[in-house]
Amino acid sequence: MSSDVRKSTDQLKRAKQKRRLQMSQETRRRRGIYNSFDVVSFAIFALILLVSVFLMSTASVNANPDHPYFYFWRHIQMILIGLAAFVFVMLFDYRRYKDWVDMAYIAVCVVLVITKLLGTGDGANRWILGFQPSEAAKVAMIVLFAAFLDKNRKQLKDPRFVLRCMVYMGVPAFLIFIEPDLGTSLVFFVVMMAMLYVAGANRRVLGATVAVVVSLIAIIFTVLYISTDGFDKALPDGYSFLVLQRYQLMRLAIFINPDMDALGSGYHIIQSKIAIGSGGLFGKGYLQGTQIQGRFLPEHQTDFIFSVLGEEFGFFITAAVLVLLMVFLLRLMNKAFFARDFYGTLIVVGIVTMMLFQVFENVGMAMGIMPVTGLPLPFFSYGGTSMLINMAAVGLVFSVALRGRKA
Amino acid sequence: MLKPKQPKGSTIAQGKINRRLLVIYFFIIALFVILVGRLFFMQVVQGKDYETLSDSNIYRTITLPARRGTIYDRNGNVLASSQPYMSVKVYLNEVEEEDREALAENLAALFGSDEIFEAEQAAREQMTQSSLDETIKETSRQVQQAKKDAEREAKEEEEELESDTTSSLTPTEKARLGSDAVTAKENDGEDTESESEAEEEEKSEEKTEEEDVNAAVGSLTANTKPTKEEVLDILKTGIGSYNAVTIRTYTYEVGVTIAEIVAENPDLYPGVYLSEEPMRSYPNGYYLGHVLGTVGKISDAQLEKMTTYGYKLSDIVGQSGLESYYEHYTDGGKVYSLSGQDGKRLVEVDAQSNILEVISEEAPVAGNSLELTIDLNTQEHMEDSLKRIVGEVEKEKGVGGSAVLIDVKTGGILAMASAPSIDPNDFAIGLTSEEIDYYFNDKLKPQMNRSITAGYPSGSTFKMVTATAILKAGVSPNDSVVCAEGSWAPPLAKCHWHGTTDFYHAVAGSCNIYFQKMAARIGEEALIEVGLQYGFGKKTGVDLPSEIAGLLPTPEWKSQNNTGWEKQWHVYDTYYMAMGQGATVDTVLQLASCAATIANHGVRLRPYVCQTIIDDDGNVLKTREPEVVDTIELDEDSWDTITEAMEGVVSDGGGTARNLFGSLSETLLPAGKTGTAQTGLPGDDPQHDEHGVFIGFAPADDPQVAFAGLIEYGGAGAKSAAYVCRDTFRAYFGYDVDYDIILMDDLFASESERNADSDAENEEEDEDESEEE
Repeated sequence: MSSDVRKSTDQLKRAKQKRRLQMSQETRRRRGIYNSFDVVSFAIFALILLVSVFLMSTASVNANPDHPYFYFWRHIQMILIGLAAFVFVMLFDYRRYKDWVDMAYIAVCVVLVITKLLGTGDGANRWILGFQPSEAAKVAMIVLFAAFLDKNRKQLKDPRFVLRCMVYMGVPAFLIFIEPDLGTSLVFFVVMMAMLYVAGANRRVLGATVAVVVSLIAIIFTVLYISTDGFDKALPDGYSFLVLQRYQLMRLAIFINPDMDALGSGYHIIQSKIAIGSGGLFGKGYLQGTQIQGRFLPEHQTDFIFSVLGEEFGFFITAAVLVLLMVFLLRLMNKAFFARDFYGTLIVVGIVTMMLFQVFENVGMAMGIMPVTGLPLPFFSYGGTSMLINMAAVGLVFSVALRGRKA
Repeated sequence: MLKPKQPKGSTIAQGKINRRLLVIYFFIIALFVILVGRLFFMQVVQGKDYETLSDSNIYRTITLPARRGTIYDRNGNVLASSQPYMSVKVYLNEVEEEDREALAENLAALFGSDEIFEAEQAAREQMTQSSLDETIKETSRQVQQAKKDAEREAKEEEEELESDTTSSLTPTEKARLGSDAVTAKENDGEDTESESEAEEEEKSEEKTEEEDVNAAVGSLTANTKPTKEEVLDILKTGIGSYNAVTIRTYTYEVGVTIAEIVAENPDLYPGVYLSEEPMRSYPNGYYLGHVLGTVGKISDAQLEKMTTYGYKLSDIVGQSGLESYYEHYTDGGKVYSLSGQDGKRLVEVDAQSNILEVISEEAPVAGNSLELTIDLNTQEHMEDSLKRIVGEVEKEKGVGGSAVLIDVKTGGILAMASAPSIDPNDFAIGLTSEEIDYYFNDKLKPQMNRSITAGYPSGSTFKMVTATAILKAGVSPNDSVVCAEGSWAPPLAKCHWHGTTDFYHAVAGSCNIYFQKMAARIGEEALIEVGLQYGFGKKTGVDLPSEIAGLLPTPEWKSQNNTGWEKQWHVYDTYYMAMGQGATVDTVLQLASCAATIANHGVRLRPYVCQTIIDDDGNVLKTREPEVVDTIELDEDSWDTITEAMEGVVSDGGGTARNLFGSLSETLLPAGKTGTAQTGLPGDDPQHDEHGVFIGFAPADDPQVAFAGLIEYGGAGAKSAAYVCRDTFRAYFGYDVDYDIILMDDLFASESERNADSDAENEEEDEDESEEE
């Protein structure tokens, strides 16, 4: 008797489970999910986040002397909030964004204008209520631009259309540039070029654009060379060229020679290079980085988090983390091949190139092979908006992958 | 898994897109290869270089200043010692660039606040209590007045300047200017090496003086409240350096108060901290100031020389006197040093220079101490007397004087004075603008030790050299010369009537005719030989810096430094030399050494100041033994004759200084010789502008001490330098009980004597000569 009862309850349970499974399959269908979740990519992602938490535990100790683990706990909170955003964005069908394209474009521009007018921040208007709209605008514009290209796919070979694209991306990029935030507006440019390239836009126009930008950079550096006596003396106060202000030009100039303003603009880059270089093969050890823990390198929990890694953990572990990031980006890039539509492919390309540029710029800056722009290192740098948006962006790629063709 | 797989059933368009995706795909790999490559280059290839840079960030060497050795007199009285002071320092790399001005303002406000400023002034007053305040203020007033006058009369003077006399100086006149550089150039004596050295010394000294002014005005306490701009200027000297900048130095007590204020308001004073530092202190004020010397920040030239001995920028080193001579003294392969060896503490710091860990520590080694031959009591009395006599000289001309007392048995210097005085404390604390006016006064030259750095014609005191040479040449002391109106024909310098004069009376009455004629009889060669044996024309080798050699003219020197007729040695050159005039330039120390040599019957000992060098624990490292430099071979009878004649100078009825010691002559048995030397300086009146000179020793039967003194423009030696000698002997032999009363009597007596036409004064005038040649 008892065994029968047990049997029947087991059956009941199984049935319930089956129904639940069926329901989830229904849900999946409703949400357009055809592929299985990429566990390996998510595992790599989780490992990256764990490394970042570990790194923040040593970086935070001296960043806020009154509360040694302030940044550490906040970082974990951000990751948890980011994970929720990741799941939400992943489950949401990316194709439905197309419905709100026009409204969204206007909303992005309006928010950026408000940020410029009312925003707060140290020397720039970047913050609204503790949030950085420009970070969100990056990802939003990738989705919008992908939809824009998808909609006008047939005109891609028309040079005039390419110019239209530049205006489309240029408006929000300009609004960010005047915040001012040169780094983020550069991200817009790089992402746009990559997406146009993959979409198959007119190559001559693309080539010409690259040529114009390269010659502009050449002109700026020539002017800097003259104004700084061959990158020897700091620029005079109040100096500006075209739309660039003195501090922005100084960042470019010290990229060539940090010693020309060793205690001013060049200080960070010099100390960062010392931190990384002195790490050697095996690093100085957890909490043992003299540059970091002696506070010779300020901002090491945000823009210069990579220097913490290099100094305390040395070449092998740092290179391993870089390889981990590379594998992760390549796996995300993989999703572009199997996207269900052109739109999805472009979203993946946009997000991967955005992350690639930020990683290369941030790590390159810390090692002195890229100018200082103030871009955070995705997933590692402390910063709420950046973490939330980057995790949502990964969710977006997963969203495309879940609805993609079978591999 | 990493390799992209071609999806099934892809269209041609999809294929093209995939190709472009692949380009991005490999772009990712390429960028990461660049990053890892750069990482490898920095951490593996250049890792060691960056490690060095990292170390230079965190390791800092803190200097633990060594205590400078103490200087004692022969009885153990402290003459110079080091006291703890507090320096306000700023680590500029801890101060944000935009905060600098605010910091300067806060510091200026702190230094100028009533509490600190008044305490500072009180401490300063206490430190310089025994000092030259009155003299300095007076000089400063005069200098300021002179500046105004000069401006007013600038136009008038311009015309006169065109006929400036200095350019037309003869070598003789130049030699008499009292400057080492000039003398050294003129004197082509035996060792040119040491002379060029002397020149170098002089040059570096001049430089040092200039730098001293700057350093003193800059970083140490002064009697004015500092302005924000001044503080900012000092702050700015530290830009780009990891070392701290010293803003101001305070006495220990004031420093502690400041430290408390700074600790309470860390936001107002970023990067500010106080460090305890020993500073030189001279408890006896200006007494013996020239001999002790001064200390100051090391100059660039000094640093270049001394960097091999471990000296470093901003070290405090001896700049003159014993402080300089024994700063780093090598003897017999051993090094003795007043400054000692600074210790080091290697610490690990963070970016705000907080010390995280002490890694190693090397304790400082205190400097060696000196025990001098100086007798402080005698020194003080001699200096007071010198100052008084110099003060009596007519203000316009009288600028200074010098006196030296030597221990006859050893050559040790018992007292050495130079007027005007210097107070080494002023240099250690930092000079005020008034003090700068005083110490760097071109006319007064108070910083010059007139006993060894100034050259003078020694006048009739030099006749003792001539006297020795005469006896040595075999002339009988009974041989006499007639000194009367008719025998004064040129080129002989004129004299006063002495009648038939033998050796004894010639010395006692200082008869020009006797010595000129006798010198001509024995010839200049014999005279020069004895002069050299007495040590004239060369450095005595005393352990003090900046000694000059003086000049004992020889026929060779004359032919090299003159033209035409004057290239030859003429008989009047011998005449001049016999009386210590002409080109002869001597130092007061040389005269004192000469007096001691006479007292010692021809044995010349090297004069010295430092008797023993002892280490911090009181162990004797080095003791100086008397060193015989030269011996004048002369029979004992002749020495007795000379001594007897010199006794006659101060006790015989015909002596030039017969009333000098009064009844003391009988117990003290002093011997001496007066001199009244024409200055020979351009612009001076040869008839009336004369230095008063006196040499002497006592007691005559067993000489203990020998004296030489010179009062610039003092006139007759018996009425100027001789008084210093008498006061000094009194002090040394313990007759100074009623010192002050006697001084008052003397003052009165000397006044009345000067007014009344006494015999002595007439005899004094026989020093007068015409320079009509």
